[in-house]
Amino acid sequence: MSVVPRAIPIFLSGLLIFALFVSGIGAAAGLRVLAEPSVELIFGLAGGTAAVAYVHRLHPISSLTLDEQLFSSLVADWYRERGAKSSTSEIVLCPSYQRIIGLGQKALPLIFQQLEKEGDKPDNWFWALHAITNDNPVPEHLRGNRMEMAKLWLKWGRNRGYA
Amino acid sequence: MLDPVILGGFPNLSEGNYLETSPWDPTYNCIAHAAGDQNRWWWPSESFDSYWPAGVSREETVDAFVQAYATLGYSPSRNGLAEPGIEKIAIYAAVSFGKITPTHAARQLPNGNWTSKLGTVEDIEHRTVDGVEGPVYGSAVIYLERPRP
Repeated sequence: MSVVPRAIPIFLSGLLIFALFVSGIGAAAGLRVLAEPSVELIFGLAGGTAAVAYVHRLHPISSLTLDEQLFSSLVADWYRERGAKSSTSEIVLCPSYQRIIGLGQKALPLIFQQLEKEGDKPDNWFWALHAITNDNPVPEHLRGNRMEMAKLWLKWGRNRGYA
Repeated sequence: MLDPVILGGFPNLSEGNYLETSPWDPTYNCIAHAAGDQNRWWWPSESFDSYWPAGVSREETVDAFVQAYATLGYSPSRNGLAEPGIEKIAIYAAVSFGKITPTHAARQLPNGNWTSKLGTVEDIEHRTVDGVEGPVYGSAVIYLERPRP
């Protein structure tokens, strides 16, 4: 899912916050509660705070960066595109997997993070890692043994500050 | 129950004629599972990320797959009918860019049913070899057999 459409409601929410802040100030001035000008500010802040709480409930501010969101989205798309295929070549040629490779170096910490999350069921990130880094720490006799390959690649990533 | 997106690729599978026999696991595929190997991903690609038996050509051809299973004692069989003391494998293929390309392998169980690993997802047991035929795997094109271990 594109990031831009998700930014629109957040932007509109910001406008709402500003509007409620101003309204809070206006309400205080209209009520003429006290002579102290700080009261308007308090009303404005209260209104703005209530608006923030309400908006956050509707549109929780994501703790993920845009790259992380894009990567997660591409991973989900990759799962869908590959379905039940067993062919390595078909699986890595899925458009979303190719887009992950296309992210280049900035995909590396995300891929290593994903590999760590997958634990003892590592997925085929090795093609992407090789394509991006042009390196391969996996010896011939461990080809296809994904658990061992994951350990070697994670060690490679930690040594270079990616994991 | 398989994910509906996955199940959609297998028109001959329906609730009642298959059984999920393992959880989702991307570390091995159907070719490995048919060979009895759940520790590696088997595929004849030239890349380093897949296992292929030594000495067998790394080609995506039915013949290369027959040779791969021959390293485990399998030889061509007349059919996929269950026979006492005989373990059979079915190799599936589909036409891709005008070429017949292997897509899947299933192994016959002692009870006559078949076991298949569906890519990175679950293993299933299915009653007939055509249970996993369809747009994803094509159809079974050759059977292999060896004495059941």
